[in-house]
Amino acid sequence: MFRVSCDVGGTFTDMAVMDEDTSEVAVYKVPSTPDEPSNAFLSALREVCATRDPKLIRFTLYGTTVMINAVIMRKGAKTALVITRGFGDLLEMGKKDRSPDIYDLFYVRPPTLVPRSLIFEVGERLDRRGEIVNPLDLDDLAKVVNGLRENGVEAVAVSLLHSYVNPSHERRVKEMLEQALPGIPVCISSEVDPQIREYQRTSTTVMNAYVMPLANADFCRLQQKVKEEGVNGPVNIMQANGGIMTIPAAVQRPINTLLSTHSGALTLASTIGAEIGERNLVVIDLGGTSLDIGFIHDGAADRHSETQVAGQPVRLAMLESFSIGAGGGSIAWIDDGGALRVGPHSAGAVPGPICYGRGGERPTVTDANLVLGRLSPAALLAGRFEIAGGATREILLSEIGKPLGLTIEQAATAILRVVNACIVEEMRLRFTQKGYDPRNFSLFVVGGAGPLQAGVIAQELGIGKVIVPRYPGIASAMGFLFADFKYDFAMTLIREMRSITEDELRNAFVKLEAQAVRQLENDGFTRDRIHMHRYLDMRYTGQGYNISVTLDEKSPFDVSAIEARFHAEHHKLYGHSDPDSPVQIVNFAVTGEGLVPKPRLTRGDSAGSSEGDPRTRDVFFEECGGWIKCEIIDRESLRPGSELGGPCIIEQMDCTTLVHPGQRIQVDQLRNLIIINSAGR
Amino acid sequence: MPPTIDAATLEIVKNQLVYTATQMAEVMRKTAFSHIAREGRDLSASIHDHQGRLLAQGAEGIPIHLCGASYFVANFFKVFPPETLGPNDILISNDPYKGGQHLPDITLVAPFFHAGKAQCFLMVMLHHTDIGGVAVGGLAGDAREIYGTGLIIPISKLNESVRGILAANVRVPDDVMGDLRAQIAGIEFGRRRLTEIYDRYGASHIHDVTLELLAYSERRVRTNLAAIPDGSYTVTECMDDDGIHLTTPVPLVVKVEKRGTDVVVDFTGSSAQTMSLNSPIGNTISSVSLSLRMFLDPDIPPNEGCDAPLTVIAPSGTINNPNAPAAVNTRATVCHRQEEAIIGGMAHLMPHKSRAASYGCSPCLLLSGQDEESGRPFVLFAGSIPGGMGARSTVDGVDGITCDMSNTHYMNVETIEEKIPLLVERQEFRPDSGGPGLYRGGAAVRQVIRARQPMVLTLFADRQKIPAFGLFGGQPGGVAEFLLNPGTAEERTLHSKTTNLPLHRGDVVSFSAAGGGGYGDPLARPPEQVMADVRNGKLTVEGARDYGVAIDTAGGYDELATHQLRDAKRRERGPIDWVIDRGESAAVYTGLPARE
Repeated sequence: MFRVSCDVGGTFTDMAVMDEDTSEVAVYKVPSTPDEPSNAFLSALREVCATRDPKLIRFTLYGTTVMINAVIMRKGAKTALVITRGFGDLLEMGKKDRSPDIYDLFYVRPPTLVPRSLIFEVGERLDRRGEIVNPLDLDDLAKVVNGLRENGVEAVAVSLLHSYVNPSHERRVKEMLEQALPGIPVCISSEVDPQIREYQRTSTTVMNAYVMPLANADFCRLQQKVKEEGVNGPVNIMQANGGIMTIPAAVQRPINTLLSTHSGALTLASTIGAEIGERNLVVIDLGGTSLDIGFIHDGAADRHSETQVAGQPVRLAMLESFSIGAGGGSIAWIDDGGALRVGPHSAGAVPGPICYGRGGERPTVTDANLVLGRLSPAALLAGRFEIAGGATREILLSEIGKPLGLTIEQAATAILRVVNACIVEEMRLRFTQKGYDPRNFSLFVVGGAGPLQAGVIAQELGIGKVIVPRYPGIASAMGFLFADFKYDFAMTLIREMRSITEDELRNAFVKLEAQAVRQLENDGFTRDRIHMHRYLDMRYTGQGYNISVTLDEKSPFDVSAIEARFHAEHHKLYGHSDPDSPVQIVNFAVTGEGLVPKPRLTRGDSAGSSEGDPRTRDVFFEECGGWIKCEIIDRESLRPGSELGGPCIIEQMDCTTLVHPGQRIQVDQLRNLIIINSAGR
Repeated sequence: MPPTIDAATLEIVKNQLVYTATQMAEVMRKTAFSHIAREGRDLSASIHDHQGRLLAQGAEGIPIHLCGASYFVANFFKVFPPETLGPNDILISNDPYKGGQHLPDITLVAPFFHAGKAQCFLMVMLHHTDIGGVAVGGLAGDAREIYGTGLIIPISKLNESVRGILAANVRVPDDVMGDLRAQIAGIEFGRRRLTEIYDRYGASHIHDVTLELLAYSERRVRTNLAAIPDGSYTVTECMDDDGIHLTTPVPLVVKVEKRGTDVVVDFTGSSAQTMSLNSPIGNTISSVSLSLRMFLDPDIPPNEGCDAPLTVIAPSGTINNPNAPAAVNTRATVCHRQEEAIIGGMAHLMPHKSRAASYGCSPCLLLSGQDEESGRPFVLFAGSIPGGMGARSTVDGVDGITCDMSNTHYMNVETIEEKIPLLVERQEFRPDSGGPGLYRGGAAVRQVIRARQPMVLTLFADRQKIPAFGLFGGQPGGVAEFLLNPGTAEERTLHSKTTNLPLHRGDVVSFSAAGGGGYGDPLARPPEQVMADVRNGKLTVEGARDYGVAIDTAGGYDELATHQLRDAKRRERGPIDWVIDRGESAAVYTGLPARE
């Protein structure tokens, strides 16, 4: 049997197919079809099925950017919001800061997903304990129903104050709306995100409703089309938490699919890390326009629970990822003070770097790499483009070299130094925010532009080892192949640790766990294949920020052990803890995992070294004083166990790995490239 | 550029210094105890040289903190010359008369040693929840001198005695001492990171780089300034009152003169210092600097070089440069007005790149008491219920947003209610509060709270009498409104500066800051936009009349009637030959012309 995974990106749609018996993987890359994203998916699937029996596909995994693009372009459903009387302006006024543009005289607030005219207030009010201050006003509700009808809304979000403690008003509203408006989806905040803080909860609920009709249409159509191709296995959907969900579940919680792309690379990193004994990894995905940074700590990808999408806050369980605008397409320029800058503007995929010869006229990081001989004109995009080498040199010299009084090699080197330093400082900031020491981490690098820069980045951060997986250019689709089913549920329940008992703790979790189990049993998992993780968001009483504490698997409800974990975690993150201060629980959370049997990663034959005559090319290395003959190796020719000294360059279809002088490179049993920094650990 | 520095190294070290300061702020935020520091992010970090000059500052932060730190740091060195400091010393102060902001903003300054020598200095500033004094948070609006407003920490070495005195003088010592530890953690982080950077590049090389960085920023600022037309303008703004003399407006006069690539900002002619409403000189410099920043490329790295083209004149003994013992705890109002006057006045030089006035203060609401259920004391600093931003020359003012010197985040009602026994009954944009104009001023937020048990309220705001001015025919915004038990027989208006008012169980208070001023002729605003404002609750049907839009009973507008109404209004008004419109009521109150 086979399993197939697909990651639909802006430029390319990647597909990976794994043979479950041999664990051999084949990869496919086709141009994306933004107008109808499933077309690219289907054409890749046809390529896959050309040599395989579609009936042997056990399941297909689908990671999509359709939903997030709909949010960014404001092309979701016509959505209404029903909210507590007096709070109709919440979505607008929730963003009262001007970050990050605090000095912009012409600052404009990012538009909300629901226009004010589709926000309806209803009379009702609960207090912080969930007690009813004002009962639900049914006359108001009748007016809301009329308003929704008259406006022809396609989806409704409901968010009432303190519904995370007492959902009864929201449930009543949902019941009435569903009855009055059959076929119109109604999302209530106490189901989507039952946690304290109305702005975040409301925004999350609204976004879920906003993409729901779209998700329903997209996923169901896809399943239908896949069936038409003769594939019987189901299509499952990737989530931001790194897990899989079924289409029926995804249609209910499409917001979970919004940020799934980054989770693939992180899942791949943690899977490979577990195989090769690397439990702490910083993962970078460096593409043409952006860099994503994530962490695997102690074997598991770091999670977080809040982010922004197109200027709107979203609260949901996701694998943590930070994005900055730096990549192969980042443009180098001289500013009006005479300083050399790289980014944040990018040449993107169109027109792209100068060397692509597609109209790019500004020098980019990729151009600098070409000029220094690090990228081969032939290897670049497998020769699909005529490389404009002459124009690249000319422009780089006139735009950067001449103004700074540098030779072309010096100018290109300076561009790379600056962009690498930007990336390094951004990574250092993330390490600081996380409270991690880079020297305890290895660098796992993916993305087309990543393996060229990763060696230097690791050196700068004092990281000893860089891991370049077999197919760095399609890391997300590869990662999807190793994902389990995963459902997150969380709720706010504020309790003092001092007065809570083991039974109360257990009972609070029972409700959440039951939701997760019900979902997984629906998906066909038996109890023995269901695994439960439990978390508490805790804080010192009176503090504003929560820390997520993972409960012990064996004795999860041991109150004093939990408290001790909290103090330890606080100390780890913030450098201080106060075991005498009272501690509060704020949120309860669980992740229910449905474990999917996983194929072993392919282990190659050991021994043997590169075959054929080694090629060489002139490559410029500042640290060697200039141009040197550098060995160029075809990655396909490398066998597990091979070991080489830098400098050398390893080329593969869509990616080039650069090994600097003083570094060594090994090929491990899984055919990962491992760059070793002698100066590191 | 000195020949020893190459372009890449300059850019890299610049980034490293900025990121060091950013990370110091991040460490502080992460380790802080108080709500205002952690969620409000009311803190900042920077790096300075031996003369106190700013070399780099964190990327995020509170603008007002970030622009005036060098003056304060230089004063630290007058008391403790750099050569007398040891590698582990940390200095502390909050003294507004030495360059500090207001008393709750405790500042630490610490040397960074490398190769046995102090190479540069780290500064961290954090707004503490409380600093003692008669009102919680040090924010009494009716203070008559600085002594009642909180503990003054003179420039000192931070030691056990200073810590002890601080802890003994604040209402929430756990928060304050926890936040102080967070500041120290920020300094320690900075020292570690700088050690790595200095190890890598060497002290003398970095010294050269920092000099070039200052020159670089100055070059870029001057290039930007050269693009602003030469000329000068004077703006007179007034604050409602000083909180003590409740019917006396407090004038603020600023003259801005721009010649070539230099700017002189002169506050001569402003009110003599008042007992309570003053901006210490450090703040004034800061305000000027951040106002001009609005007209420069935001990408210029902020450092001392940026201020080289700038001269600030603020005569001693005035509201812009007061002497002890005037109180300065509510300096934010003066700073906001300095900024609004400078930014608004730019309309004289650049009509197409300017902004009408905004809500003119940082409206603060403090609630404190003892929770009847838990028995624990509570303090809520509901900082900054935002008003409206002034309309810009190309776009409406933003509704309910922080402006200029402040940039605090939204505080969730559920979080407030979880901590404090009150009910927020409404929180909405107040219709008609944005000044009419071709571009409408931003609407203010109205918050209505109900006390569920006795508690004490302190309020500090302004623009209750003098609205935000409009530009080029744009009209003033609505004034602020503070009501106790509105709509009942006991309704009464609260003064914008109210200290320690006892609230009884069930009392309702309605707060609304002022709206922003409008820009351009409201009669030229497309009727569709006026209708949209009506639909969105930013305007009432009544309010639409200011725009000369005739709304029909069906909720649309009558094109012909609108045309006629606008013609009539235009004839009545005559041509727009003024720049600033303060409004009639402000003119009566202040004696200044309504329009000029």
